Amino acid sequence: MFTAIAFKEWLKIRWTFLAMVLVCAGITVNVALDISHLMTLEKATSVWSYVILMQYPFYSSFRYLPLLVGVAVAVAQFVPEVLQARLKLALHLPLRENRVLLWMVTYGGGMVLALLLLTLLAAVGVTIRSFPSAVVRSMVWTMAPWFVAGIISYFLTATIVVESRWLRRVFLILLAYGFLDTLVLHVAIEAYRPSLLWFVLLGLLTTTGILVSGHRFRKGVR
Amino acid sequence: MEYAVECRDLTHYYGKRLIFENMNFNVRRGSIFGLLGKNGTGKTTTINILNGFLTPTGGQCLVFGEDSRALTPATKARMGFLIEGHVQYAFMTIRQIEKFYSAFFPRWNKAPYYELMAKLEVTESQKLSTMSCGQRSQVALGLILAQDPDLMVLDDYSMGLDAGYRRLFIDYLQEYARAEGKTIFITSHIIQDLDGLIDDCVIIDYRSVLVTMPIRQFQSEFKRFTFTSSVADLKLPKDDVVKNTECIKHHATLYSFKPRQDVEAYLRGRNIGFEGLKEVPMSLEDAFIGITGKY
Repeated sequence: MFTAIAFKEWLKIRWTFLAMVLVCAGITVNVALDISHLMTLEKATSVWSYVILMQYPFYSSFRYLPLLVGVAVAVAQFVPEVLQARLKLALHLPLRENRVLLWMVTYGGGMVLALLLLTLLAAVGVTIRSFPSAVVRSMVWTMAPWFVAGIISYFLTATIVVESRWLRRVFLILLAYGFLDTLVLHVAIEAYRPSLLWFVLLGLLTTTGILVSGHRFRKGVR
Repeated sequence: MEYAVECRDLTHYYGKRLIFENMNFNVRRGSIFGLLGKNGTGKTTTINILNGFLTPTGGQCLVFGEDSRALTPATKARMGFLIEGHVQYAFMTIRQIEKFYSAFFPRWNKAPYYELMAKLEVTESQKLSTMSCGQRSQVALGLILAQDPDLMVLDDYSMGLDAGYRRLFIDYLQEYARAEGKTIFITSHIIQDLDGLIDDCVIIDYRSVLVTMPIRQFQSEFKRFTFTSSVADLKLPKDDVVKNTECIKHHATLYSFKPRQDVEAYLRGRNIGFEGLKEVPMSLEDAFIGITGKY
């Protein structure tokens, strides 16, 4: 049954997801070309010192990418469900309603996570050829909050889209904006390293947010 | 258990607006039950309560003995549900949607679905979003038939359908339901289509239940009388005898469950002169308009 749900979710998100794959690949290639360009024009030691001493974030174009991926996939997945109250079809399937909703976000969240991890790996791949591992580690720690924000943005967007009351939606949007903005606010090197675990734990709470808005949808709260 | 659905003292408000109060009805197993009412009287509200998509303000609805507020997966597997407007997954193709649903229902039988699809000018790889409203209605019906449910809940199946598709829908539904002994709970705003289809009915009006009875009993007991009244634009209050009146100048129409002699006695008792009082036969639609009024 999960396969059937996954099939349905894939049909909804496939074009958006493929577009996001292209955007992620494009930005990764762009960063790789930037590094290559710098290395060609300058000596490697100059570039290294610029990156290490001046803390030049050559990967800053990744900053809003995970947010874009999370929001776009959630919108593509859940807007068709709330149009014409189509979510009733899924909730009428012979399964526990919470299970259906969790399967839906597990699939969507899994796809977002997979794409972001691949992007992060690709970023590491293109960086590690030109920089020492300390720089790459620093880059990963600096970008990690952006990628965590991407995953959280998926779950929060799903919760907001399924929510049936506009006033509550606006409140959730403000809450999401405040939370996510904190994670992507600065391009400060490794700034979130000490607190990232807490953000991850806080973010885990958002994975079940859809159960609340889904419950309200099912009970007919309008 | 004799009943597939039991609604007891069902009451619902949207905010402070009362939709209906203390609605009671039972749907016998193997019967076709019509929930009839004008637009905005609470038909879809009732269906939403029945499917667990709305918590009633008061009372309860039992589906196969289970409270509709907490239907188990096993009970949901026995219920086919047609959402108003034949809403389905428009991003799927005919083949994809059949494959999708087949994973969930243990009694899934794709034969009636594809039999119905063969009647449409569509291909299996065609997306639902590219189909006409009539074609989508047949897809939705075909999926319910393939599910092989014991109870079908159909919310305004006729919405957006032309006469041909409405007839096709009803013919298929009737044939299937009668042959397989299925229970159907149906609403429609086109009452004439339900004539000859439904066994029992409940007729609701704004905030109240007007009639709950077998349809044959309703059609035989509910009567329309016409006469020339001595009083122009006659308007009578609704009571035990008079269920509704219409009057254009002196040409009066009176609807009642009482026999002719009771109506005559009623008019005489109120000193209303009348001439040429006669009972006029009605279709189901006439009777529905008679009891609910034109406005």
